[in-house]
Amino acid sequence: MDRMQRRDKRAIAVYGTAAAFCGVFAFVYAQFSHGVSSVAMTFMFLYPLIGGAGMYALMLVLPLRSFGRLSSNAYNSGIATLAVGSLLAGVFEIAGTSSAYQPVFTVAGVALIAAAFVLWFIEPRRSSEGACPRTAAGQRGRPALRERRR
Amino acid sequence: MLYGVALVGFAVFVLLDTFVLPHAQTAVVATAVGTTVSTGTVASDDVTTATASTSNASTTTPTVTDTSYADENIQITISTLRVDDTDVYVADVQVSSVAYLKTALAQDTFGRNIKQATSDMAEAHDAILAINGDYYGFRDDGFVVRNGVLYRDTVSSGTDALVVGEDGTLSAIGEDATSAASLACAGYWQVLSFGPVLVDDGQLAVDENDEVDKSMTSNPRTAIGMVNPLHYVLVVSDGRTSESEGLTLYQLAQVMQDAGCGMHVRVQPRWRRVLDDVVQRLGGQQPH
Repeated sequence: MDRMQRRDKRAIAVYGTAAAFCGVFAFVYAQFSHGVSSVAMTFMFLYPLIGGAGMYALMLVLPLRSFGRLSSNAYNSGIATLAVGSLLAGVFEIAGTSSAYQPVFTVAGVALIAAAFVLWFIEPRRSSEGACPRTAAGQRGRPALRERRR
Repeated sequence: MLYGVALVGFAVFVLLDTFVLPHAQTAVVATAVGTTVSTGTVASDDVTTATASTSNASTTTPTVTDTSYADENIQITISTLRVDDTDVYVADVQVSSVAYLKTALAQDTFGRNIKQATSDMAEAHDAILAINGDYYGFRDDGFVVRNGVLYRDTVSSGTDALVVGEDGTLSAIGEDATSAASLACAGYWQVLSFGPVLVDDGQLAVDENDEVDKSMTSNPRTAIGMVNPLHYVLVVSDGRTSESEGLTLYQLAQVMQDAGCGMHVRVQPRWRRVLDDVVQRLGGQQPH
């Protein structure tokens, strides 16, 4: 398993945990909302589940190039922004109010995700086994001590 | 990491801005209708509908008991009911002029998140009876006309506006169909943004499946209705406590219909009410 695959699997685990947390949070919040419900609150777990874990799972299963560092950061930030925006939208819906800043989260989240895909296309391709250089002996990592002394 | 910190910080700011930070916009315009009147938004961003009696409004000594008030211009009778495991307070109000049906804004200031206890507002405006009103300060839309002064003309889509005419008639108008400016110019004394209409022409206008927004349980309620012009019924129910379960919209509508209302509108759910304080006030006790 190469470094990128390990990273993608770690991302799936993290996003899965985040989705579970979002689900539990929405459930607990609903217990104190006096019967008022919100679609945004109830389904905010879908952002980390499908947008996060689902995307990285697709990259593992399909012959797709993984996100690079910049595109990965942008994509993760976008998903986080959309999830937080959904949380706030749910809070406001249940309370019966609204905020003029609510659209900022949606716009920023979508923009970051779009930027992530743009970066994904323009980032320099890395070898499928990661960026570690190979030694003259064909091994990964730094050259053996014997070779450096030469 | 840096973006995460910024995201959380911005989210906290948005929450504070929405629920906590006061945004004062306009100081109340004092209108003299026989007496000095300050209008403002009710405590907890609700509008108080206050019936104010001032020293030069009545020339006779009022008759006051624990549950009633009467002078030559204002008659109020308060009764306490037990309906559907809920304490319900019903105030029957008759006035000689619509000028005695006034509203007030918290801290005499129009804006968002401006708050003041309803009982404090009632005392500051020398109100005989006061209840909380709509929640204009908790949102950025909905018509706001108080004591003839226009404060906001932003439509709250799908919302009914309760309008109080110069002759004391209560009626409901869909905000999508008009503007607050035209209502104020037409002489409507008060315009409150809430709803829905519960009783119309003496008939129930809601059924057992109707509820406000996404609320689907029994709640504390506040409502105002009209028996005839200048004859009103104010209803406040407790709820979400161990003593009182609360009322559904349908149950509230039935209470108003039984009280003789030809037309009545729900004012505001889910907020504490001040009618019990007013009962104490009538009895000479200080409201808490």
